[in-house]
Amino acid sequence: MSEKYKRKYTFGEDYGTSFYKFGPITLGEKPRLIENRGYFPDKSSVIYKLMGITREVIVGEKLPSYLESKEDLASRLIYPMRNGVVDKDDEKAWRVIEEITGYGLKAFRSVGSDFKGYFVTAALSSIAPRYMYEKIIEIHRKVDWETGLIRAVTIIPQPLAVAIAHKAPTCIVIESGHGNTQICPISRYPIRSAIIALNRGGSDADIITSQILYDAGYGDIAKEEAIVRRIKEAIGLIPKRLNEAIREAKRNYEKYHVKYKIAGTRIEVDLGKDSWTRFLIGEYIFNPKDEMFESYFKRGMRRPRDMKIGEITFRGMMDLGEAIIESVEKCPIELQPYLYNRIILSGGNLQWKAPPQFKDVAVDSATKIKILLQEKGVEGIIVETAPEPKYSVWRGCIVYGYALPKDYKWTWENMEGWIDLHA
Amino acid sequence: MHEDVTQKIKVYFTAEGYKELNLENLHESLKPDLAFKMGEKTIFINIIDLEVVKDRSRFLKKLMGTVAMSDICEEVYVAIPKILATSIDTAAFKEHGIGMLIIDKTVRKVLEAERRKIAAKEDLNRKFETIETRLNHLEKAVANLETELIRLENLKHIQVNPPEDARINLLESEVQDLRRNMERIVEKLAEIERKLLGTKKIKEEVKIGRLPITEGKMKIPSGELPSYLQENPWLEILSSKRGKSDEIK
Repeated sequence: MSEKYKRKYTFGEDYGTSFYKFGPITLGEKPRLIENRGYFPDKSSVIYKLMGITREVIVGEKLPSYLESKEDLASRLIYPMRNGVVDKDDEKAWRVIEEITGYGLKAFRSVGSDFKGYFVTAALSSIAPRYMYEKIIEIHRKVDWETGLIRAVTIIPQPLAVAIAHKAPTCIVIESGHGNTQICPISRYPIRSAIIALNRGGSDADIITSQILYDAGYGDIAKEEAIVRRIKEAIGLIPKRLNEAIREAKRNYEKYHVKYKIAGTRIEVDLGKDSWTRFLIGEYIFNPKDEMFESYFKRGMRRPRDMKIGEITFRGMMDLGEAIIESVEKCPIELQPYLYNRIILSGGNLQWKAPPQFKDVAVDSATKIKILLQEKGVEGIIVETAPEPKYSVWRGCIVYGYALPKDYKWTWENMEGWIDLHA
Repeated sequence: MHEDVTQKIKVYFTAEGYKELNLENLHESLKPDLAFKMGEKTIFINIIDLEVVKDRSRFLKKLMGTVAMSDICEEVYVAIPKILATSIDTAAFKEHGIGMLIIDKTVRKVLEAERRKIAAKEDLNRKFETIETRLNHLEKAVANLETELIRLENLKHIQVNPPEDARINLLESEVQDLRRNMERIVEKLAEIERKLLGTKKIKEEVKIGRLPITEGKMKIPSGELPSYLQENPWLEILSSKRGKSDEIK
């Protein structure tokens, strides 16, 4: 099997928290994507019988057309990778992942006469425990048996894929998704002992947004998760320095006053004199320890807690600057300046707008991280935001699968190499 | 009970893949300090710390409770701080099949609990199975009734002659028979498929289950590789990795 073969039959899979991105190298710059979720229809319902559904779980673009009543949607619509980690015995979640994997590969069944199976590189969260690797391999075995589409499979951590896609052999990747944030130093391979995971992500910014809406008299809206997320994205700002930003927003009330009209409804959210609270939303992602948040915790808002999954402890309240420093300082001293010299931000939770009219007090994620590190005495920092964060991991998978020699066999010690499914 | 000890035990069992169980519905006398579940297996844990040992009646109560729990879960453990470990004899626990965990900086399993079969649970499982079967029958009956109702509703608007009516009834009963047979066949097929998936040996012999791979025109990137592959230093790093085993043919 030659390089020419890999140029046709390398396949990438990114099991993201919200989307599953997949496809062969021949797609070029962008993969195909579907939501990483599955729907278990109610087999006893008349609709199920009338529509002639024979599948236990439905995934893919057509999923919304199968959704039934709202009441039991939460128990039937499963997002298996909401936090990057799937419980070992969460059968429904694993069933969805199996279906999604099969869906992805079957979508690219049209192949040449020289086809002997894809070289598949799958990417998982850097904090995924070993049993997740084992399950993913088992799922690929099943899919291959059913379809004959897989020659060999390998699994890599998502931050490594991001570093590869950005052509950065030495860097720190900060991947912040819906449920958590991973800080992963990389020097030709992830330095596993230095990975720091935070039990904080986009969902925590949703929580403080919800609390702000509640305080502003929008209790009903505060309960609607999807609406809260949209409001967060529309009004949230990252402050350069929180106290200064709040002072300025209170002093110059008109400038920072924010209203948000919910599309397709008559509802308009007006934060009025509390418009300064929009800075709390951005700050909370970077530093929930600020005393401004204490009053919210005292009133019952859930404090991000330390949590242990497998070998990894997810820190709840650690500020992001502190976490980066702790991660870097676990690496050899000689390497540390090179790591600070290339920090790559990836994941939806770090894609924040910094409107130019607020440039005196509001910044983007890269600048905020720079400020946090500078305050702690770190110099020579270069932070970049992934231009197309949605596709970085898939692209990294393609490069990895394309370049990794086919004779490099998987070992559990190194957690790398190919697993030949036809051996 | 010391919060730190509880936390360590939770971390230990969570790392093993267990999930913490909610104990709200359990009777007070049978309630352990902590309980975990993985698949069908449940584990109860009672913590015996210095405070418990100091209070004689509380200590005895806890021990008796621990023994009683053996009847309602698969494995029972007592968790003991290291400081007490030397003064507590494991023999008595071993005799009753109770395991022991020592809590220091980490959690150590010094005595494996004996796994039991739960008679009561098995009875319950049998009852559940019977109820489930009955429910399935009922579900099918309701579904048939629904279909029948829809059909009758439609028939109200159609004028039919008596002989045609009889023919329709006959056809309908035949269709129903056919549907029942088809459902049985589909179930059987699903069962066979499940069995086949789990058998690697059969995999090599039976290949009829595979979806067809269609031969089409592949779009090979002509000359230019995607931007992320061009001048990527990782290509050299990754391609220099070498294994010891045979090349994939």
